[in-house]
Order: sequence, then C-alpha cells, then structure tokens
Amino acid sequence: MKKKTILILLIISALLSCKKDLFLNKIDYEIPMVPGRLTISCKLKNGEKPLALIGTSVHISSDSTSINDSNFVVKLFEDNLFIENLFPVNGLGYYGGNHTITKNHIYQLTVSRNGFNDATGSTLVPDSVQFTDYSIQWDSAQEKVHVSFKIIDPLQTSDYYLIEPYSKDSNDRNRTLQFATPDPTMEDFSAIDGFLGGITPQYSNILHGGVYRDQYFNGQLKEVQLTLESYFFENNILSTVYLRISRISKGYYEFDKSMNIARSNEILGVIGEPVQIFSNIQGGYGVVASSTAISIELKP
Amino acid sequence: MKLLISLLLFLATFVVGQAQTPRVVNGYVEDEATGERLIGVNIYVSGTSFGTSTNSFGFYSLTIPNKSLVITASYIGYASKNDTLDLSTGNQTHNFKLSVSTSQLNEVEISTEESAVQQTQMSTITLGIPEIEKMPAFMGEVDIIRAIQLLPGVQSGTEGTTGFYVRGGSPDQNLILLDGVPVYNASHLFGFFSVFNSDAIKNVQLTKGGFPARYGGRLSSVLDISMKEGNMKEFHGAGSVGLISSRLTLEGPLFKNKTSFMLSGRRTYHDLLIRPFLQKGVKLGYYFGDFNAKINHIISQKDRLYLSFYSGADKFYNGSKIYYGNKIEEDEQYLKWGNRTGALRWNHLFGDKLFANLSATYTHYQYNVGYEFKGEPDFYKYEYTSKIEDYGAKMDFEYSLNSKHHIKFGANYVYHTFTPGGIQLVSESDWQDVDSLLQLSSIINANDVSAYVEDNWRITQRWKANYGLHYSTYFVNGTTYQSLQPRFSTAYLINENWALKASYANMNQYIHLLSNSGIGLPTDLWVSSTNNVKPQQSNQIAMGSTHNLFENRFEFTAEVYYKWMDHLIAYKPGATFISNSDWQDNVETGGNGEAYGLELLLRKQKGKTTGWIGYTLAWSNRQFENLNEGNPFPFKYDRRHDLSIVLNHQLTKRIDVGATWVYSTGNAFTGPQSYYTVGQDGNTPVDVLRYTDRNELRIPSYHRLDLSINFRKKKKWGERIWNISVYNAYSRRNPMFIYAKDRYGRKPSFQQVSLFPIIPSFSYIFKF
Repeated sequence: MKKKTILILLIISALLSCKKDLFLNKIDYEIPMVPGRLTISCKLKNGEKPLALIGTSVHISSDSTSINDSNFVVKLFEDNLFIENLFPVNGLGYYGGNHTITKNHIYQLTVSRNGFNDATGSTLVPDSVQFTDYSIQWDSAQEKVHVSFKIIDPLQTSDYYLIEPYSKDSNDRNRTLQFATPDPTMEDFSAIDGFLGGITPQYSNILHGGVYRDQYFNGQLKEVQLTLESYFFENNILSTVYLRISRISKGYYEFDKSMNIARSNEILGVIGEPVQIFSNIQGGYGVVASSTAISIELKP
Repeated sequence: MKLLISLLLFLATFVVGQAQTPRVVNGYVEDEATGERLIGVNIYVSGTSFGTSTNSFGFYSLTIPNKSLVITASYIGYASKNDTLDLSTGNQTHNFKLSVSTSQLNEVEISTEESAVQQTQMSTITLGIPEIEKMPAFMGEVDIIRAIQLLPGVQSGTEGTTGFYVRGGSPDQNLILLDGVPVYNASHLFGFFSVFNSDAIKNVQLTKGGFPARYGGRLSSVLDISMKEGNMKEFHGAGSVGLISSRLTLEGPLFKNKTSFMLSGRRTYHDLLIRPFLQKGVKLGYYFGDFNAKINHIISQKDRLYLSFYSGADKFYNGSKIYYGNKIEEDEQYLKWGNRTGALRWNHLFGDKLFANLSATYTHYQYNVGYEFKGEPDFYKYEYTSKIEDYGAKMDFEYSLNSKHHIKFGANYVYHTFTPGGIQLVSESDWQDVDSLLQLSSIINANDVSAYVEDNWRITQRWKANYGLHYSTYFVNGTTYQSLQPRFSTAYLINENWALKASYANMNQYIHLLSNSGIGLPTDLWVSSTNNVKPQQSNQIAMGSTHNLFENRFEFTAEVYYKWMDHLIAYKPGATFISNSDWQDNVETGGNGEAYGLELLLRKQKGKTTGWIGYTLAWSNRQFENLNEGNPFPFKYDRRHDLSIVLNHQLTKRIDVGATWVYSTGNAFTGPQSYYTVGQDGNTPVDVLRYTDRNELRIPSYHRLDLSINFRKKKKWGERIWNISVYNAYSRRNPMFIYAKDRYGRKPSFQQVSLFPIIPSFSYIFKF
C-alpha cells in the first residue's frame, strides 16, 4: 500500500513539475545567411526623365542597413543601345538622367557595385491609351459626379490600364479622389504607399486607383464608369475632375499588385500566406516598370 | 463507358469458360463471445492456394473444388479454427466463431494463414484496436490517427496534430470513412485529437496506393474505419477517466442474438475545471465531445441491418458577463465546428454467390466563427459559417464467379451541398430589427455519380491480380465532368514467404479543401469543382516486395512509388478564408504535383514483443504558374526522412510497456530572408521583405520518444487498467512554427515555437 501511495505521489509531483512548462516554448532561430543583392526600384514614364532608387538588400537579421548612397554605377540603355549613366540625385540612393523616356521603346537599367553581382531590369514603355465617348454628369443634389468613357483596347495580349481621378485644391496641388465603380472586373489598387505613380500625394500617401486587365475585353471597347463623391473634394464642393489614364507595363501591374496584397496581409499574421513582392530584376531584386499616361480635364 | 462494357463482357467469358462444377462455401465470421463480426479474417483451404478474407461485414465467399476439404479461419489475436467440410453434396454456408487466443504470446507460433505476402493488394495496412490501445497515450487519450501517422508513407502535420499526409498528398486527398460515410474534418482541439473514440471503433485500414476500383473520390488514401456493432450476447461496458476527458461505452443485446446496440460518448472537461478559477464576469473555455451509436439487427440468416450515427462538436469561446444593477450584458466570441454522420446499411445474400450491401448515408460538417452581444434590450450577432453536406446512396455487390475470379461491383450517388462562406448579421434593438444572411460565395449543389467493377483474379497458383475500372461523373452548375479510372494491382509469389507486387491507380477528386499553409485551423474550406476549378487527378505506380522472415514472426515490406497529380488548387498569395469575395477569386488553379519515395516496414504482430519499424524516404513537389515565379517548389510536408519505431512488450500477464520513437525531417516553410527599399516620386521609401523561394527553408528536424505502461487487474466486475504515459519523454523542443518578432522592423529576431514539452499523463480504464 505504501508503495502505491509513493508511486501516486511521484506521478502527481511529476505532473505538477511539468505544469509550468505547458506553454509555448520559444527558441531563437537563425534564418540562413544569404549574400546581399543590388536592388532597383524604377518606374519610367513616357515623356519624363528617368529616376530610380538604387540600393542593396540586407539580411533580415543583419545589424547593418540597406546601402543607398552615391557609389553605384547605373547605366541606361534604350533598345540595347547605351544612352547614359544615371547620376546620384540626392545621395540617398536616387539616380536620375537627362534622357527623355519615349513610348514603344525598350529601356534597360544595369546597376553594378563592387562586391555585388550586377543587376539588370528592362521594360517596354507602353503606347498611349486610346479612349472615346467620355462624359461627365454632375449630380448636385446627390453631390456626386458620374464619369464614363470607353477604352479602345488593341488586339494584343497583356494590356493593363490604370485609372486615377484627382482634383486640385486652391493651391493647385493634386488631391486624391476616391471613387466607386459598378464594374467588378476593376481591381482595387488603393492601399499602396506612394508607388502608383504620377500624382504627387501631398496630402496622403494612400492613393486610389483601379486597374483593368484586358483579359475580358481584348481587342474590344471597354466602358469605364466611375462615381465620385463630393466628400473627397476640397471643402466638400464638387469641382473640376482630372482623369489620368495610363497604360502600364506588366511588371508595373504585378509589382503594385503584390505590394497591395502584402500590405493587406500584414494584419493577418500567421493565417495569411506569405506574399513575395514581384521582382523582374535579374541578379537582384526590385522592379523596372513603365507607364504612358494621358490626362483629361472634366469641368463642371 | 465502352471500356466498362468491354470489361464486363471480358469477365462474362469466364462464366462460359468454366465447365467444371466447383462448390461455393460462404458465411460469416464472428467473435464467439460477443457475436461481433470480424473484418479481414483469413479464410483458406489448407494445403492449397485457395483463400480469401472477410469483407467489412465479416462475410466471405470461396469457390473451391468439389471434394472434402479442411477450411481454416485465422485472425490475429484469435485462435485459428479448422473445419472439415464435405462439399460433394453441394454448396455450403459455413459460419465461423472465433475465440480470443490464449496462446497469442507464443513466439514460435507458426501460421499458414494468407499473410500480406499472399494478398494481391499492396500499400495497405490494417491496425487492430488492441494494438493501438497499447501505444503511449497523449494526455490520456489513445488516438487512431496518431497511430496511423506512425506508418511508413504517412506524414504527420505540425506538432501534436492529427492531420495526415499520405505519399505527398494533402489532407483533403484522404478519404476518411466511418462505417462507409465520409468524415470531412477528423480533428478535435485544433487537430490535437481525432474525432474517433477508440472505444467505439472495431477496425482501421489504411490504403495508400494500388486502390481497388471500389474506392474513388480521393487521390491519396482511404482510411476505412469500422465502428463496433455491439455485443449480441451480453451487456458490457468500458470507459476511462483521464486528465482532460472521460469516455464511456455501453453495448449489449436489445434482443439476444438478434439485435445489439453500442453507445459511446466522450467529453473533455477543461471548460468545467477552469470555471471556478475564472474571475467573475469572465467567460472562457473549450470543450469537445463525441457521441457514437450503432444498432445491429439480424433479420434473417441472409439479411442484416446496421444503423450507425456519429456526432461530434468542438467549441472555443471567450467573453464577458457584466452586471449593471439589475441588468446583465453578455458578449461572447466563439469558434465552433463539428461533424455529423449517419448510415443505414442492409446486407443481403442472394443465393450462394452474390453478397449485396445497400447503404443510405448522410454527412455534414460545419464551422462557425462569431460574436454575440446580449444586453437589454439589444442583441447583436455576427456569424461566419461554412459547411458541406452530403446525402448518398450506395450499392455494393460481391460475386464469387468461380475459383479464379471474385468480382466486386457497385454504384454510388452523392448529392453535395457546398456553402463555403456566409455571414449572418442580427441586430435587435429599440430602433431596428435586422436579420440578414449574406452569402460571400455562392452555394453550390453537385451530383456525384460513380460505378465500379473489379475482379480478383487468381491467374495461377503463384500469380494473382486485381483489376478494374472506376467510372465517375460529376454535375455542377451546368458543367459535367466525367472520368474513367483504370486500376490494376498484381502479386507474384516467388515462394510462400516472398511476393513481388506492383500496382497502378488513376484517381479523380471533385472536391477540394482550401487550406492556409500556416496552421491547421478548422476554418479550411471544402469547395467543389466548378466551371473554373477542374477536378484533381492523380496517377500512381508502385512496386514492392513483401517478405515473411524468421518463421513468419516478422513481416518486411519494401515499396517504391511515383505519383503525379494535376489540377491542384492553392490559395493565392495573401489570401485567406476571411475574404469578402467568392473563394474562386482567391485560388490558383491548374497546379501540378509529384511525389515519389521508398517505404520500408518491418512488423511483428505476434509474441510478447510486437510493433514495427517504419522508414520513409520521400520527395513531394508542387508547381503553379503564378506561385514561386512558376518554378516547382517543395510541398509543405515534403520530408526527406521519416522514421517510426513502435514497440510493445508484455512484461507479465498484468503489465505491458510501450514505446514509440519518431524522427522526421523538419517541415518546409517560406520565410523572410532579407529586406530592401522601394519607392520613388519623392515619397518616403518603404522597406519590403524578400522571402525565400516557396518552402525553401526547413524548420529543425522533429524527434520524440513516448512511453507507456499499463497495469491490468481482473476485478469481480471486470477489468481495470491504470495507464501511465509520457509524451515527449526527453522533452525535445520540437518546433511547431517559426515567426518573426518584428516583421517590418529593423533587426527582427526569429523564434521557433514549440508546443509540448514532456507531458506525463495517466488514465483509469475500466471494462465490465
């Protein structure tokens, strides 16, 4: 009987000793080391000078920071012909050039730096968007503006259209406009930090844009309908609407889309799938993308 | 369809070709003490190669020569029985009643039964409940699926969970049948326990490849679980009291030797135990419970009726209850899920040769995530619901054509209703009364029809084959999918102790499980193939050798396999089940997969020491056009090495000890590897993470030792067993997952999280 009692006491004490350990245990884990790579972040715009942010990737647990200085060699090629070396703009990794980007040409950026493999990215600057039948209806009673137009999509694959309405404030600064559309095929590209291009986001770094892929209307007319509310205009008063319509490269679309998903995914934690930011850089990371935009002014 | 008809015509030629007058002997095999019918009993004619085994209803049928013969029934754990039959007068029905062996511990017992060597079927393993019950328990609970995970070719999921992955397949590719009814989610407590209460289960069989034509609807495995039928002769019970749960099973005759019942229940009591320790007003708890019931009625010698039912539920909740004077305000967040299954089955014997089973089945799985607020007079509720529900009807026939051909054929119909995501909003107050249901994904109804025919062909004394066709068609949203799936397996006996085997199986699957790769939540979505999402397909070839060693005391099996899969789906990057759009917008389709490997199993089922050593060397990859830049990547549960050692030793008549040790390569995962800066246009640049290629990284390897000891004692009222088990005996910190402490901050540190250190447990088990 005594033996049984001792055995039971031993078991109970073993259980109690383990109880404090019945929680999640955490042990440090080392992510394997990988060499740094050169990075390029560049969206070329038809009719504008090139501008790119150049840097290096840094191991996730490294104490050092990304290198963004003036010691990179950045070359610009147009249709495989060397054009110019881009020069540091501000010492913070931005490199600019004097050449004017022209639609329907292929541009390539090559970056090199001692101790790193070269990185290269290229893009075909798309042609301008053709559109027709645009109209605007001012609904003062509802304090809304209804805008519609039709995109003339050429019979070729992989066309991507970015649509961004905006207004101007009394100081002639651009003002982002949110909009609604009844069209479920328009993809919402609203939650990206300062990277949708074109409109300087002086009030907010959240832009509001929608993207169409031509998979559903290749070679046809695509009607676009937008509704804008007065709430987003200065002083809640409807005023001139500017409509920027861009044809963007596939890399532009894929990059922004992955950025958008990654941002949305941050709040999901462990239940979300990891999101790889799109990269089209050989030997490095980042994107070389391009767009050709047109803007129209729609007055009340 | 033409192929099916051709096959039937081909089979018919054998009828014409048989001019001899062989005899048919058929019957049932049952436990002498309980009347419970026994599955998989080997029936063979001594001194010949004629043999078969009982089906899932304990029925056998043998066509054998017209003379006096000795027929043996042999089953692990039972004393073999030899009966002499004189078949010269005609066909006979002969039932066997086997009694539990008292000499099963005899090391040198040599059996001439049809062992795995003689079976045509390969890639199949049967586990008996006594074998499973001797294994170390986890928190006092033995678990069927935890035992299955120890078999070669079967990978476990994350630490402690009961998800299983067979030959590189995903969990939805396992058909889990409880009395012939699919169970869609076999997990309790986020996967730490399975829904199968071992007290209510009779038999477990896992098929990993070489699928006979009667099976369909899944790509990777069939786990066929049979519930106990209930004791036909006496009233008995069994139960246990453990650290986290208790269970009780009762069985007995409703009408002696005519109708029996079995009732079994299990419930955890964590929620009840912690209630006194919670602060006033705090609601927090978790429980799960199961209920199994079965009625078994003998209508006549040729007719039998089975009615079985299962219901299980889990609920996790937390909330508050606040008192404002006379008023009470309560709120609660909850996650609950559960299965319900039911089956009505009727066995009938037509003449001497044709056995038939007719089944009507029902299965339902649902989960709800919600929030509720009750005040006075306000009531708010938000609930997200996803469910799948099937109604089915099935006919299965077995026909013993002649001494060389045993044919099985049948048809199955299932009506599926998929409700992948709906939100109910209820708001009741003085000023509004809203009760609305929003379907985020459309409800899909589908008709799933299939038919099969297979022949177990004894080509020569040494060469056997099983071949057949499984045809299925699926009607969904105006789209019809059809599939004709050939199946073939063959075995060649080099000698009576060594057989070489090979198989090919083409499989088709019309339903998919959308699963986030992070953790195994019950929130994974069951969805249907649609116009856009095609059915999954697989082809698997396997070859192997089965060898009886050391006078049949050991069985050694080696198999290699290659499986390729098409039309797989996966969540798009960043997608989850929480979405405001149709699930079809969130998935990548058209994925391919391949899995290949080597499996070794050394098993000992007789003697004082029993158990097995299983080893798997495996590869499993996936490829999707829009994932991992289109490059192939390892499947999350791609594990190069997997080793299991399972041992049980009978120290004395009253004491047995058990140990299991497992080792496996760590799970693959995708981790952030570096970061870099993007930005332009004068905006503040932002850092973004660069992840590794998909599933490029590995968490550290997994290994664990579990121990158990059982003290048995006969009592006046029956038997009591004290079970002491130790899970993770050397307290290995096995990683469950890796996470970054500061995902977007500088210098984030990474930690691997382990769930279970050493966990001793004990339970008191009683049987009367």
